[in-house]
Amino acid sequence: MDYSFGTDEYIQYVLDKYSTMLIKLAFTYVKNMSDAEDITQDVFVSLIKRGSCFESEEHEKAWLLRVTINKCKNRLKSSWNRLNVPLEEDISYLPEEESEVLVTVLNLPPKYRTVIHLFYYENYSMNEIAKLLGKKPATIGTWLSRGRTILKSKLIGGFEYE
Amino acid sequence: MNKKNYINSVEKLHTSKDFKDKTSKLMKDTLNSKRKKNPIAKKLVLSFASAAIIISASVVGFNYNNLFTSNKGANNNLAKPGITVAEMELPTSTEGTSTRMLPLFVYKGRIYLHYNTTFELNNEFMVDKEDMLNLRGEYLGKTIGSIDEWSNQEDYATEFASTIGESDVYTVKGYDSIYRLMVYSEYPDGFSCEIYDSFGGLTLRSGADYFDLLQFKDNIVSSQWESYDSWNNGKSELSNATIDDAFNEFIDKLYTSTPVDITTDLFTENTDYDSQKFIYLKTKDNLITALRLFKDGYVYAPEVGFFKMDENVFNAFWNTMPATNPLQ
Repeated sequence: MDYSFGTDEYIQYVLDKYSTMLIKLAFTYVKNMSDAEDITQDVFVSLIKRGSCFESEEHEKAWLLRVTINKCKNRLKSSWNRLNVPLEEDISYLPEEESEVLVTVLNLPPKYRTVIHLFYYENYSMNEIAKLLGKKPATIGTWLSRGRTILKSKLIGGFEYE
Repeated sequence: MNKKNYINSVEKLHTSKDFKDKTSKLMKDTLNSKRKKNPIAKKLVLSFASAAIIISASVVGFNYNNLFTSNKGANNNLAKPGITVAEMELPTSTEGTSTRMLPLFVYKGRIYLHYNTTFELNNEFMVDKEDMLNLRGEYLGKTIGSIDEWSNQEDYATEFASTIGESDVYTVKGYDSIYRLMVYSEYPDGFSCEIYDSFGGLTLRSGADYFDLLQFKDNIVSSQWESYDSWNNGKSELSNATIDDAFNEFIDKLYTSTPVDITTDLFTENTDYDSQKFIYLKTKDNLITALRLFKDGYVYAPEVGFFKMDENVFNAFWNTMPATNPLQ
Protein backbone atom coordinates (compact mmCIF):
# COMPACT_ATOMS: atom_id res chain seq x y z
CA MET A 1 0.00 0.00 0.00
CA ASP A 2 1.69 3.17 -1.23
CA TYR A 3 -0.97 5.74 -0.50
CA SER A 4 -0.39 8.49 2.02
CA PHE A 5 -2.69 8.49 5.01
CA GLY A 6 -5.79 10.58 4.58
CA THR A 7 -5.65 10.99 0.82
CA ASP A 8 -8.67 10.15 -1.32
CA GLU A 9 -6.69 7.20 -2.68
CA TYR A 10 -5.99 5.93 0.82
CA ILE A 11 -9.65 6.15 1.80
CA GLN A 12 -10.69 4.31 -1.35
CA TYR A 13 -8.01 1.70 -0.75
CA VAL A 14 -9.06 0.86 2.82
CA LEU A 15 -12.73 0.81 1.85
CA ASP A 16 -12.12 -1.50 -1.09
CA LYS A 17 -9.85 -3.77 0.88
CA TYR A 18 -11.66 -4.07 4.21
CA SER A 19 -15.34 -3.01 3.95
CA THR A 20 -16.77 -6.41 3.13
CA MET A 21 -14.62 -8.24 5.63
CA LEU A 22 -15.54 -5.93 8.50
CA ILE A 23 -19.24 -5.76 7.67
CA LYS A 24 -19.44 -9.53 7.66
CA LEU A 25 -17.54 -9.87 10.89
CA ALA A 26 -19.85 -7.30 12.49
CA PHE A 27 -22.83 -9.16 11.08
CA THR A 28 -21.86 -12.27 13.02
CA TYR A 29 -22.26 -10.20 16.20
CA VAL A 30 -25.27 -8.01 15.52
CA LYS A 31 -27.06 -10.31 13.06
CA ASN A 32 -28.35 -7.65 10.74
CA MET A 33 -26.60 -5.89 7.92
CA SER A 34 -27.87 -2.43 8.76
CA ASP A 35 -26.20 -2.42 12.18
CA ALA A 36 -23.18 -4.21 10.79
CA GLU A 37 -22.67 -1.46 8.23
CA ASP A 38 -23.25 1.20 10.85
CA ILE A 39 -20.56 -0.28 13.07
CA THR A 40 -18.16 -0.68 10.17
CA GLN A 41 -18.67 2.95 9.29
CA ASP A 42 -17.72 3.85 12.86
CA VAL A 43 -14.60 1.74 12.55
CA PHE A 44 -13.47 3.60 9.45
CA VAL A 45 -14.12 6.93 11.13
CA SER A 46 -12.01 5.74 14.09
CA LEU A 47 -9.30 4.87 11.62
CA ILE A 48 -9.30 8.41 10.28
CA LYS A 49 -9.33 9.86 13.78
CA ARG A 50 -6.37 7.68 14.65
CA GLY A 51 -4.41 9.91 12.34
CA SER A 52 -1.60 7.75 11.03
CA CYS A 53 -0.72 4.74 8.89
CA PHE A 54 0.20 1.35 10.25
CA GLU A 55 3.60 -0.29 10.15
CA SER A 56 2.29 -3.12 8.03
CA GLU A 57 -0.83 -4.46 6.37
CA GLU A 58 -1.04 -7.19 8.99
CA HIS A 59 -1.10 -4.58 11.74
CA GLU A 60 -3.67 -2.56 9.84
CA LYS A 61 -5.96 -5.54 9.32
CA ALA A 62 -5.61 -6.72 12.90
CA TRP A 63 -6.39 -3.23 14.21
CA LEU A 64 -9.52 -2.99 12.09
CA LEU A 65 -10.75 -6.43 13.14
CA ARG A 66 -10.10 -5.73 16.82
CA VAL A 67 -11.81 -2.37 16.78
CA THR A 68 -14.77 -3.88 14.92
CA ILE A 69 -15.11 -6.62 17.53
CA ASN A 70 -14.90 -4.12 20.39
CA LYS A 71 -17.48 -1.84 18.83
CA CYS A 72 -19.81 -4.79 18.30
CA LYS A 73 -19.42 -5.88 21.92
CA ASN A 74 -20.09 -2.37 23.14
CA ARG A 75 -23.15 -2.09 21.01
CA LEU A 76 -24.56 -5.38 22.24
CA LYS A 77 -24.18 -4.27 25.84
CA SER A 78 -26.70 -1.53 25.37
CA SER A 79 -30.37 -2.31 25.62
CA TRP A 80 -30.95 0.83 23.62
CA ASN A 81 -29.38 -0.91 20.69
CA ARG A 82 -31.27 -4.09 21.38
CA LEU A 83 -34.44 -2.10 21.22
CA ASN A 84 -33.37 -0.58 17.96
CA VAL A 85 -32.40 -3.79 16.22
CA PRO A 86 -34.44 -4.00 13.05
CA LEU A 87 -36.12 -7.13 11.85
CA GLU A 88 -34.02 -10.22 11.42
CA GLU A 89 -32.02 -10.14 8.23
CA ASP A 90 -33.85 -11.59 5.29
CA ILE A 91 -31.68 -14.41 4.02
CA SER A 92 -34.39 -16.17 2.08
CA TYR A 93 -32.35 -15.72 -1.07
CA LEU A 94 -29.77 -18.20 0.21
CA PRO A 95 -30.03 -21.90 -0.65
CA GLU A 96 -31.52 -23.83 2.24
CA GLU A 97 -28.34 -25.73 3.12
CA GLU A 98 -26.41 -22.47 3.32
CA SER A 99 -28.98 -20.54 5.29
CA GLU A 100 -29.29 -23.44 7.74
CA VAL A 101 -25.58 -23.34 8.52
CA LEU A 102 -25.51 -19.55 8.72
CA VAL A 103 -28.46 -19.41 11.11
CA THR A 104 -26.97 -22.14 13.27
CA VAL A 105 -23.62 -20.37 13.48
CA LEU A 106 -25.35 -17.08 14.32
CA ASN A 107 -27.20 -18.81 17.15
CA LEU A 108 -23.97 -19.91 18.80
CA PRO A 109 -22.83 -18.01 21.89
CA PRO A 110 -20.91 -14.92 20.68
CA LYS A 111 -17.43 -16.12 21.62
CA TYR A 112 -17.82 -19.41 19.74
CA ARG A 113 -19.44 -17.64 16.82
CA THR A 114 -16.56 -15.19 16.43
CA VAL A 115 -13.93 -17.87 16.58
CA ILE A 116 -15.80 -20.02 14.04
CA HIS A 117 -16.10 -17.04 11.71
CA LEU A 118 -12.48 -15.93 11.99
CA PHE A 119 -11.19 -19.48 11.65
CA TYR A 120 -13.32 -20.70 8.77
CA TYR A 121 -14.22 -17.56 6.89
CA GLU A 122 -11.16 -15.37 7.45
CA ASN A 123 -8.75 -18.30 7.63
CA TYR A 124 -7.03 -17.03 10.75
CA SER A 125 -5.01 -19.51 12.79
CA MET A 126 -5.84 -20.15 16.41
CA ASN A 127 -2.74 -18.21 17.48
CA GLU A 128 -3.76 -15.24 15.37
CA ILE A 129 -7.29 -15.29 16.74
CA ALA A 130 -5.91 -15.51 20.26
CA LYS A 131 -3.85 -12.39 19.63
CA LEU A 132 -6.81 -10.56 18.10
CA LEU A 133 -9.14 -11.38 20.96
CA GLY A 134 -6.57 -11.06 23.71
CA LYS A 135 -7.02 -14.67 24.83
CA LYS A 136 -4.74 -17.65 25.22
CA PRO A 137 -4.48 -19.95 22.18
CA ALA A 138 -5.69 -22.81 24.35
CA THR A 139 -8.86 -20.84 25.15
CA ILE A 140 -9.46 -20.25 21.46
CA GLY A 141 -8.94 -23.96 20.83
CA THR A 142 -11.53 -24.78 23.45
CA TRP A 143 -14.04 -22.30 22.04
CA LEU A 144 -13.49 -23.60 18.52
CA SER A 145 -13.97 -27.16 19.67
CA ARG A 146 -17.12 -26.34 21.64
CA GLY A 147 -18.48 -24.34 18.74
CA ARG A 148 -17.95 -27.26 16.39
CA THR A 149 -19.57 -29.65 18.85
CA ILE A 150 -22.68 -27.48 19.10
CA LEU A 151 -22.84 -27.14 15.33
CA LYS A 152 -22.56 -30.90 14.92
CA SER A 153 -25.43 -31.46 17.30
CA LYS A 154 -27.66 -28.82 15.73
CA LEU A 155 -27.12 -29.43 12.04
CA ILE A 156 -28.69 -32.27 10.17
CA GLY A 157 -25.80 -34.44 9.13
CA GLY A 158 -23.41 -32.76 11.56
CA PHE A 159 -20.80 -30.16 10.74
CA GLU A 160 -17.96 -31.07 8.44
CA TYR A 161 -15.20 -28.63 9.06
CA GLU A 162 -12.20 -29.94 7.18
CA MET B 1 -20.06 -29.59 3.01
CA ASN B 2 -20.93 -27.36 5.94
CA LYS B 3 -17.77 -25.30 6.07
CA LYS B 4 -18.23 -24.49 2.41
CA ASN B 5 -21.91 -23.69 3.01
CA TYR B 6 -20.98 -21.25 5.75
CA ILE B 7 -18.42 -19.51 3.57
CA ASN B 8 -20.85 -19.34 0.67
CA SER B 9 -23.65 -17.98 2.83
CA VAL B 10 -21.48 -15.21 4.24
CA GLU B 11 -20.12 -14.43 0.78
CA LYS B 12 -23.64 -13.95 -0.52
CA LEU B 13 -24.89 -11.58 2.18
CA HIS B 14 -26.07 -8.37 0.59
CA THR B 15 -24.31 -5.20 1.55
CA SER B 16 -25.52 -1.72 0.64
CA LYS B 17 -24.41 -0.59 -2.77
CA ASP B 18 -23.69 2.90 -1.53
CA PHE B 19 -21.84 1.85 1.64
CA LYS B 20 -18.44 2.84 0.30
CA ASP B 21 -19.65 6.16 -1.08
CA LYS B 22 -21.37 7.10 2.17
CA THR B 23 -18.46 5.98 4.30
CA SER B 24 -15.93 7.68 2.07
CA LYS B 25 -17.82 10.96 2.47
CA LEU B 26 -18.00 10.51 6.22
CA MET B 27 -14.29 9.76 6.45
CA LYS B 28 -13.43 12.82 4.40
CA ASP B 29 -15.73 15.00 6.49
CA THR B 30 -14.09 13.66 9.64
CA LEU B 31 -10.68 14.32 8.22
CA ASN B 32 -11.59 17.86 7.26
CA SER B 33 -13.08 18.66 10.64
CA LYS B 34 -10.01 17.15 12.30
CA ARG B 35 -7.73 19.31 10.21
CA LYS B 36 -9.55 22.38 11.40
CA LYS B 37 -8.34 21.34 14.86
CA ASN B 38 -11.20 23.01 16.58
CA PRO B 39 -13.08 20.50 18.68
CA ILE B 40 -12.30 22.24 21.91
CA ALA B 41 -11.13 25.67 20.90
CA LYS B 42 -14.25 26.31 18.90
CA LYS B 43 -16.74 27.08 21.61
CA LEU B 44 -20.34 27.03 20.71
CA VAL B 45 -22.28 29.58 22.61
CA LEU B 46 -25.49 27.86 23.40
CA SER B 47 -28.49 29.32 25.03
CA PHE B 48 -29.55 27.78 28.30
CA ALA B 49 -33.13 28.34 27.44
CA SER B 50 -32.71 26.04 24.52
CA ALA B 51 -33.64 22.48 25.21
CA ALA B 52 -31.72 21.49 22.19
CA ILE B 53 -29.20 18.81 21.56
CA ILE B 54 -26.33 18.46 19.19
CA ILE B 55 -26.41 14.93 17.97
CA SER B 56 -23.84 14.28 15.35
CA ALA B 57 -21.03 11.90 14.72
CA SER B 58 -18.60 14.59 15.74
CA VAL B 59 -19.77 14.47 19.32
CA VAL B 60 -20.34 10.77 19.71
CA GLY B 61 -18.21 8.71 21.97
CA PHE B 62 -15.44 9.14 24.45
CA ASN B 63 -13.21 10.13 21.61
CA TYR B 64 -12.43 13.63 20.68
CA ASN B 65 -15.00 16.15 21.64
CA ASN B 66 -16.89 17.30 24.64
CA LEU B 67 -20.35 15.95 24.45
CA PHE B 68 -21.45 19.11 26.10
CA THR B 69 -19.66 22.31 25.36
CA SER B 70 -18.97 24.38 28.40
CA ASN B 71 -19.74 28.04 28.16
CA LYS B 72 -19.02 30.93 30.38
CA GLY B 73 -22.46 32.34 30.61
CA ALA B 74 -24.14 35.02 32.61
CA ASN B 75 -23.19 33.30 35.84
CA ASN B 76 -19.56 33.84 35.15
CA ASN B 77 -18.80 36.91 37.18
CA LEU B 78 -16.39 37.75 39.97
CA ALA B 79 -18.85 36.90 42.69
CA LYS B 80 -19.73 33.53 41.25
CA PRO B 81 -16.95 32.31 38.99
CA GLY B 82 -17.49 29.04 37.26
CA ILE B 83 -18.23 27.22 34.09
CA THR B 84 -21.72 26.19 33.21
CA VAL B 85 -22.31 22.97 31.36
CA ALA B 86 -24.22 23.84 28.25
CA GLU B 87 -27.41 22.22 27.20
CA MET B 88 -27.30 20.28 23.98
CA GLU B 89 -28.69 21.31 20.67
CA LEU B 90 -30.45 19.51 17.89
CA PRO B 91 -28.95 19.73 14.45
CA THR B 92 -30.73 22.31 12.39
CA SER B 93 -30.82 19.87 9.54
CA THR B 94 -29.99 16.26 9.03
CA GLU B 95 -26.83 15.76 7.10
CA GLY B 96 -27.13 12.22 5.94
CA THR B 97 -24.52 9.95 7.42
CA SER B 98 -23.14 12.54 9.82
CA THR B 99 -26.29 12.55 11.88
CA ARG B 100 -26.51 9.92 14.57
CA MET B 101 -28.97 9.27 17.32
CA LEU B 102 -27.93 8.82 20.91
CA PRO B 103 -29.81 6.98 23.62
CA LEU B 104 -31.77 9.67 25.43
CA PHE B 105 -35.11 10.70 26.84
CA VAL B 106 -36.79 13.87 28.03
CA TYR B 107 -38.12 14.33 31.56
CA LYS B 108 -39.30 17.55 33.18
CA GLY B 109 -37.70 19.60 30.44
CA ARG B 110 -34.30 18.00 30.85
CA ILE B 111 -32.61 15.63 28.46
CA TYR B 112 -31.11 12.51 29.99
CA LEU B 113 -28.43 10.67 28.10
CA HIS B 114 -26.86 7.25 28.57
CA TYR B 115 -23.21 8.00 28.21
CA ASN B 116 -20.37 7.79 30.69
CA THR B 117 -21.58 5.77 33.67
CA THR B 118 -22.55 2.15 33.26
CA PHE B 119 -23.33 -0.83 35.43
CA GLU B 120 -20.58 -3.37 35.85
CA LEU B 121 -21.52 -6.35 33.70
CA ASN B 122 -21.17 -9.96 34.71
CA ASN B 123 -19.63 -12.76 32.64
CA GLU B 124 -22.72 -12.92 30.45
CA PHE B 125 -22.42 -9.18 29.75
CA MET B 126 -25.53 -8.62 31.83
CA VAL B 127 -26.29 -6.41 34.80
CA ASP B 128 -26.65 -8.33 38.08
CA LYS B 129 -30.22 -8.20 39.31
CA GLU B 130 -29.08 -7.42 42.83
CA ASP B 131 -27.16 -4.36 41.62
CA MET B 132 -30.21 -3.18 39.75
CA LEU B 133 -32.55 -3.69 42.72
CA ASN B 134 -30.15 -1.92 45.07
CA LEU B 135 -30.29 1.21 42.94
CA ARG B 136 -33.78 1.20 41.46
CA GLY B 137 -35.83 3.85 43.21
CA GLU B 138 -39.17 5.45 42.58
CA TYR B 139 -41.06 4.77 39.35
CA LEU B 140 -41.48 7.95 37.33
CA GLY B 141 -43.08 6.85 34.09
CA LYS B 142 -42.53 5.21 30.75
CA THR B 143 -40.59 6.54 27.81
CA ILE B 144 -42.12 6.71 24.37
CA GLY B 145 -40.03 6.04 21.31
CA SER B 146 -40.97 9.23 19.55
CA ILE B 147 -37.61 10.68 18.57
CA ASP B 148 -35.76 9.68 15.47
CA GLU B 149 -33.34 11.21 13.00
CA TRP B 150 -36.11 13.31 11.54
CA SER B 151 -37.49 14.73 14.75
CA ASN B 152 -37.65 18.45 15.27
CA GLN B 153 -37.37 20.42 18.50
CA GLU B 154 -41.10 20.11 19.14
CA ASP B 155 -40.73 16.35 19.37
CA TYR B 156 -38.17 16.85 22.12
CA ALA B 157 -40.55 18.98 24.15
CA THR B 158 -42.81 15.99 24.85
CA GLU B 159 -42.50 14.43 28.29
CA PHE B 160 -40.75 11.05 28.12
CA ALA B 161 -40.00 11.48 24.43
CA SER B 162 -37.07 9.20 23.71
CA THR B 163 -34.89 7.45 21.22
CA ILE B 164 -35.02 4.22 23.24
CA GLY B 165 -38.47 2.89 22.61
CA GLU B 166 -40.68 2.04 25.57
CA SER B 167 -38.86 1.63 28.88
CA ASP B 168 -39.62 2.37 32.50
CA VAL B 169 -37.87 5.30 34.16
CA TYR B 170 -36.90 5.23 37.83
CA THR B 171 -34.95 7.41 40.18
CA VAL B 172 -31.59 6.05 41.30
CA LYS B 173 -31.27 5.53 45.03
CA GLY B 174 -28.58 7.73 46.52
CA TYR B 175 -28.31 10.04 43.52
CA ASP B 176 -29.94 13.37 42.75
CA SER B 177 -32.77 12.68 40.34
CA ILE B 178 -32.26 16.04 38.68
CA TYR B 179 -29.01 14.73 37.28
CA ARG B 180 -29.32 10.94 37.22
CA LEU B 181 -32.13 8.48 36.43
CA MET B 182 -32.39 4.80 35.56
CA VAL B 183 -34.05 3.20 32.58
CA TYR B 184 -35.30 -0.33 33.11
CA SER B 185 -36.98 -2.76 30.77
CA GLU B 186 -37.86 -6.42 30.85
CA TYR B 187 -37.78 -8.85 28.00
CA PRO B 188 -38.49 -12.60 27.82
CA ASP B 189 -35.03 -13.75 28.93
CA GLY B 190 -34.23 -11.08 31.46
CA PHE B 191 -33.97 -7.35 31.88
CA SER B 192 -31.79 -4.42 31.04
CA CYS B 193 -31.12 -1.27 32.98
CA GLU B 194 -28.95 1.71 32.29
CA ILE B 195 -27.95 4.94 33.91
CA TYR B 196 -28.97 8.19 32.23
CA ASP B 197 -27.46 11.53 33.20
CA SER B 198 -28.35 15.14 32.57
CA PHE B 199 -25.74 17.71 33.54
CA GLY B 200 -26.80 20.50 31.20
CA GLY B 201 -27.11 23.75 33.10
CA LEU B 202 -24.92 22.62 35.99
CA THR B 203 -22.55 25.38 37.10
CA LEU B 204 -19.13 24.12 38.09
CA ARG B 205 -17.11 26.22 40.49
CA SER B 206 -14.94 23.34 41.63
CA GLY B 207 -14.65 19.63 40.96
CA ALA B 208 -16.93 18.99 43.93
CA ASP B 209 -19.87 20.41 42.00
CA TYR B 210 -19.63 17.47 39.61
CA PHE B 211 -17.88 14.66 41.46
CA ASP B 212 -20.20 14.96 44.47
CA LEU B 213 -23.05 14.09 42.14
CA LEU B 214 -21.21 10.91 41.16
CA GLN B 215 -20.68 9.94 44.82
CA PHE B 216 -16.95 9.36 44.45
CA LYS B 217 -15.86 10.35 47.94
CA ASP B 218 -15.09 7.31 50.14
CA ASN B 219 -17.15 5.26 47.74
CA ILE B 220 -14.72 3.89 45.14
CA VAL B 221 -13.95 0.22 45.56
CA SER B 222 -11.78 -0.43 42.54
CA SER B 223 -10.25 1.20 39.56
CA GLN B 224 -8.85 0.08 36.26
CA TRP B 225 -6.73 2.02 33.83
CA GLU B 226 -5.91 1.83 30.17
CA SER B 227 -3.01 3.32 28.27
CA TYR B 228 -3.48 5.65 25.35
CA ASP B 229 -2.02 3.02 23.02
CA SER B 230 -4.53 0.43 24.18
CA TRP B 231 -7.44 2.82 23.94
CA ASN B 232 -6.37 4.24 20.60
CA ASN B 233 -5.89 0.81 19.08
CA GLY B 234 -8.99 -0.75 20.55
CA LYS B 235 -6.94 -3.31 22.48
CA SER B 236 -9.01 -3.08 25.67
CA GLU B 237 -5.91 -3.81 27.77
CA LEU B 238 -7.14 -2.79 31.18
CA SER B 239 -4.99 -3.05 34.31
CA ASN B 240 -6.12 -2.91 37.88
CA ALA B 241 -5.07 0.24 39.69
CA THR B 242 -3.95 0.02 43.26
CA ILE B 243 -6.15 1.81 45.75
CA ASP B 244 -3.34 3.41 47.72
CA ASP B 245 -2.47 6.82 49.11
CA ALA B 246 -1.71 8.20 45.66
CA PHE B 247 -5.09 7.08 44.41
CA ASN B 248 -7.00 8.36 47.42
CA GLU B 249 -5.27 11.70 47.27
CA PHE B 250 -6.06 11.93 43.58
CA ILE B 251 -9.75 11.41 44.30
CA ASP B 252 -9.62 13.97 47.12
CA LYS B 253 -8.04 16.56 44.86
CA LEU B 254 -10.61 15.95 42.16
CA TYR B 255 -13.01 17.70 44.50
CA THR B 256 -10.86 20.82 44.75
CA SER B 257 -9.86 20.79 41.08
CA THR B 258 -10.73 23.79 38.94
CA PRO B 259 -13.10 23.51 35.97
CA VAL B 260 -11.31 24.99 33.00
CA ASP B 261 -12.34 26.18 29.61
CA ILE B 262 -9.49 24.72 27.60
CA THR B 263 -8.30 26.84 24.72
CA THR B 264 -5.80 24.36 23.33
CA ASP B 265 -6.66 21.11 21.72
CA LEU B 266 -5.50 18.57 24.25
CA PHE B 267 -7.02 15.74 22.28
CA THR B 268 -4.96 16.10 19.15
CA GLU B 269 -1.87 17.54 20.80
CA ASN B 270 -1.47 14.59 23.15
CA THR B 271 -1.03 11.53 20.99
CA ASP B 272 2.23 10.29 22.45
CA TYR B 273 1.85 6.83 24.02
CA ASP B 274 2.13 8.24 27.55
CA SER B 275 0.34 11.54 27.13
CA GLN B 276 -3.11 10.29 28.10
CA LYS B 277 -4.52 7.62 30.35
CA PHE B 278 -8.05 6.38 30.90
CA ILE B 279 -9.35 5.37 34.29
CA TYR B 280 -12.52 3.45 35.06
CA LEU B 281 -13.74 4.00 38.60
CA LYS B 282 -16.12 1.54 40.20
CA THR B 283 -18.20 2.71 43.13
CA LYS B 284 -19.71 0.51 45.84
CA ASP B 285 -22.94 0.24 43.90
CA ASN B 286 -21.05 -1.33 40.96
CA LEU B 287 -21.40 1.65 38.68
CA ILE B 288 -18.39 2.41 36.52
CA THR B 289 -17.47 5.90 35.40
CA ALA B 290 -14.70 6.71 32.96
CA LEU B 291 -12.34 9.67 33.22
CA ARG B 292 -9.67 10.65 30.73
CA LEU B 293 -6.41 12.04 32.06
CA PHE B 294 -4.03 14.27 30.16
CA LYS B 295 -0.46 14.82 31.30
CA ASP B 296 0.23 17.99 33.27
CA GLY B 297 -2.80 17.63 35.47
CA TYR B 298 -5.90 17.73 33.31
CA VAL B 299 -8.89 15.48 33.98
CA TYR B 300 -11.55 15.20 31.34
CA ALA B 301 -15.08 14.16 32.23
CA PRO B 302 -16.81 13.86 28.86
CA GLU B 303 -20.20 14.91 30.15
CA VAL B 304 -19.01 18.21 31.58
CA GLY B 305 -15.49 19.06 30.42
CA PHE B 306 -12.00 19.60 31.81
CA PHE B 307 -10.70 20.02 35.34
CA LYS B 308 -7.20 21.16 36.26
CA MET B 309 -5.87 19.67 39.44
CA ASP B 310 -2.87 19.82 41.74
CA GLU B 311 -0.01 18.63 39.53
CA ASN B 312 1.99 16.95 42.28
CA VAL B 313 -0.95 14.82 43.32
CA PHE B 314 -1.90 14.18 39.72
CA ASN B 315 1.63 13.13 38.77
CA ALA B 316 1.99 10.85 41.78
CA PHE B 317 -1.14 9.00 40.69
CA TRP B 318 -0.16 9.12 37.01
CA ASN B 319 3.17 7.47 37.82
CA THR B 320 1.42 4.48 39.39
CA MET B 321 0.18 3.60 35.88
CA PRO B 322 3.31 3.00 33.80
CA ALA B 323 2.56 2.85 30.08
CA THR B 324 4.83 0.88 27.78
CA ASN B 325 6.08 2.38 24.58
CA PRO B 326 4.57 0.11 21.90
CA LEU B 327 7.43 0.87 19.52
CA GLN B 328 10.10 -0.49 21.83
